[in-house]
Amino acid sequence: MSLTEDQIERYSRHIILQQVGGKGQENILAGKVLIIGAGGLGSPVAMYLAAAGVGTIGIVDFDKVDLTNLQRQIIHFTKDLGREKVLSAKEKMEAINPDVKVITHQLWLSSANIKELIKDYDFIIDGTDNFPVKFLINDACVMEKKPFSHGGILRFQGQTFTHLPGQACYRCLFKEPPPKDAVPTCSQAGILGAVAGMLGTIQAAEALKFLVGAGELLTNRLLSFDALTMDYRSLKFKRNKNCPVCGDNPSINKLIDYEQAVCSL
Amino acid sequence: MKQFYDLPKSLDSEIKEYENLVNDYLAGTIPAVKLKAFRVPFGVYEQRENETYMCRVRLPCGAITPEQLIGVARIAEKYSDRPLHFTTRQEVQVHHVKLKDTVAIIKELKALGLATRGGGGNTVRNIIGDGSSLIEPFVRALTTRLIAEKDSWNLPRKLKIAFSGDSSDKGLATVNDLGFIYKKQSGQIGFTVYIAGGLGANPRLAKKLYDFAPANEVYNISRAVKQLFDKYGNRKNKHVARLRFLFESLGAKEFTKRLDSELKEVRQQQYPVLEIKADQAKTEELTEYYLFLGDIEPREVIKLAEKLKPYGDDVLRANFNQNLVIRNVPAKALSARKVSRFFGQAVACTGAATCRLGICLSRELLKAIKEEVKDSDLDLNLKISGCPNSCGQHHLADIGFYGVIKRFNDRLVPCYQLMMGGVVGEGKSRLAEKFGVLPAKAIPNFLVELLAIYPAKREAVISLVDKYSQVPEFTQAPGFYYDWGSTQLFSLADKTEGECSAGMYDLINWDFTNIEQAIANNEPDQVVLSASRALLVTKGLEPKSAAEAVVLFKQHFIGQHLDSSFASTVDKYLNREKITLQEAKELASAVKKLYDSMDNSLKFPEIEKEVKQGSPDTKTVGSQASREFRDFRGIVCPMNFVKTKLVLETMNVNDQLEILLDDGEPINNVPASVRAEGHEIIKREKIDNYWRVVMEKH
Repeated sequence: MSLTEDQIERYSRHIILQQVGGKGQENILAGKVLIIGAGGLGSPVAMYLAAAGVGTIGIVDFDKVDLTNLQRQIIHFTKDLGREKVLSAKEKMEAINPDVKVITHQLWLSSANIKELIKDYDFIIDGTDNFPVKFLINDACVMEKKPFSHGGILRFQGQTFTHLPGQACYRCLFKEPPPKDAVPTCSQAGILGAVAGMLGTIQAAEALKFLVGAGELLTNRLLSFDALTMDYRSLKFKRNKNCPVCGDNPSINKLIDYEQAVCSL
Repeated sequence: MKQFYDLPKSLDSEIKEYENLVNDYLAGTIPAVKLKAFRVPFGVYEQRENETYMCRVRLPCGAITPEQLIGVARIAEKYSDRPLHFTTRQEVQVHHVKLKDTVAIIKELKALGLATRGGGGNTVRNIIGDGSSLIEPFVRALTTRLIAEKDSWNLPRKLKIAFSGDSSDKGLATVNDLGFIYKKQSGQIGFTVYIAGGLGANPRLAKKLYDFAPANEVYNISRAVKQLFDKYGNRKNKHVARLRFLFESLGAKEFTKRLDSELKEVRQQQYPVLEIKADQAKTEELTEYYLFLGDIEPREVIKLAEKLKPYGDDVLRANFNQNLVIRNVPAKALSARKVSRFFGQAVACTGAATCRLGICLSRELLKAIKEEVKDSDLDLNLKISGCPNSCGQHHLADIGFYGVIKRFNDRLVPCYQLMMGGVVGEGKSRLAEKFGVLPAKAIPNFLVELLAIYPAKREAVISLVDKYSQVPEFTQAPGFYYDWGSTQLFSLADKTEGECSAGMYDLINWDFTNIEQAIANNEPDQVVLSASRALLVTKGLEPKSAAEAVVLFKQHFIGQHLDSSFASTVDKYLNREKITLQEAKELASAVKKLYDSMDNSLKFPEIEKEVKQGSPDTKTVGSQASREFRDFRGIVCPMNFVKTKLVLETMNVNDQLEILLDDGEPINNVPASVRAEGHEIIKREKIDNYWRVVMEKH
């Protein structure tokens, strides 16, 4: 693959970067990223990855755009109310960058379809808002040896880490989802819109670093921040030999559909 | 069924041979080139879209019966999804068909009394005429005779014959290889004969060969010309192969002498005189049925032909304006015309859309003009060719255009050369004159203004051309860099292949013209530049700047096809040292000689190389191994660095890259950024107001 004149211009600010260059940009253009959730996290991720020229971007969401989304889900506009989120997102991404091929998946993720869905992608972004799906994504990615970026936000806080095959996974930190209704979802707790942007852009940067092969990913580190104080912390953790899914003798060999009410972040 | 010429008996076996070749090719047992050698003279051309073909049907004087036309339309309906197309040489074409169907099409045409044989290649092509009933019987009889002769199919180049019924020469006898104009002298019927005219990229008007040749000599003369051409024509270089080049290379005297001796030989053979079945003299009512771009849907043409049937077989002609002429049918019997006169008379060749020689999308231009000009009843001829090969007959136009490529701001722009004032008529024929080059995108608006003042004074036209000839920067108006109807940036990329690559020759010739001018102006630098650039296109190289052209030339030609001693001349150019005119001329003539020795596959002879031992000194400026050059002048920060970086990425460690940079911000930033990435700057030197920087990849 060689860059066209238009691409050289469009991606010039990437190419200038010593760690990216023409080859790095070509890797981005050849990259395939799946974004799960076209909500608060998925919006900035989708916009930045599309702008960056990620060649193929899949986007998963079952929902339609409603008025409560618009305070933070910046890929959807007021005119999109009632429209399928994936279609609304696709339109914006293609408008930013026609180089990008956007594949929409309007579906509920479950143990039945997730493996098939992720298998064609190089990197997965978890932009979901509930524990059952977060565990489902983690387990599926571990089993299918797919790297992914975890992300979670609540009120003014966010946390994220990146999983690579063989490195620590979500279950190394949290053995299983909290009891149903033990944790407030954002519809009950609230979320500062910009916090979704802060965390989503970190996830987008991780995906791009992964495609380019630059720097150090957030592996074996949980980055968390509190926007009220603007303190960032990075918590080191290790792969747990006794982890039920990625440990030496995993006890979870089949995907599990946990139950919990969902809301969209 | 009535037909206007007889098919030769040999046609059956020839069709069989063609069918076998097609089958062999489709089975993969023979190469494309082998099929092509037979296919093209059979009137079957490959179109621009790979594996789609066009069949060209011979219609002497454009004559076709309604029944035949219905048959051809039915063939198009069956095998093609495109309209039927009428050509500027009075033929009809079935477009966009599959190779395997061409066999069936040819067979079905044969059943209609029509043939494609001689529709292309180095053959006796369709004989054309002005529609006068005085000459048509000759055209038919001559066609019947010539297409039955085997040596009509393997000439050095095509042979085009034309007939006119009177001195106004509406049949274009004065611009064809061989032309006959009907005359009656002391009660005897005969012709004034013209020879060695032609349009194409190097047009010339025909010379008068005989003031009066009696009618019974028509065949003998044609036969003699064919034999002469066959014997002495240039078979090696098809670009100078037409009869007019033979005429020029031999000179009028020698040419006539040799022709006379051929004619003498032909007369001794005592070939039968052409059998002329005179048309019944009629008062003819002529109605021109205007087609836009020569196209008509099979359905429409069938409807028309059905309506004409009751009036007889001899009611239809195709004319040079790509229209149909309906004769001996009361105009009121025909439905009202759908196309205005101006656009009905307007002609565009098929252009780069389907023709492999095309540079510009001529048909798209005419459509764009139609959008802008709307309808007009002006009685003038607008003729557009997509390349300098004047299939659109732009040399004969009141207003003509032919497609050319120009460089603006280091990019290629689709343009057209404006031609005006073409006149045809015995003794007064005049080729249209060049009035300047316009970007394709400016032409519709240009024409609106021109038509408003037409007929215009020369000065007015020139100032109008000036007004519209500007090409804005790419960033300001990218549309200028796209052809009409195209979403692709205009490029030569797919134009260097194809069956003859007119676009490429156009560029090469342009540089040779530049060389002559530069020599006349005593500009050795310009000579070296044009000489360096001229042949790059044959290797698919597209330099973005003057200096890059010279460097590419050095890399790809000197030491390979040209003596290494020329390196010193081009080094002087690159180092801004003084070059003498003598040196420059030597280089230019070596390049010209090399061009003349180029074979049809664009290959040049290699020079014998002395094998030198020892490691190449990569640090020497101008050494060829592992060295790249780019001219980044005019490119702002940081794009100049971006491009530098991209080139470095493709190179190996220790390879060198030489770039040119503007003064100011670029020279202050780029080398530092290159160094910051770990590469070495070997040299930076100021030349006039720009900089030359040499770096080594680490």
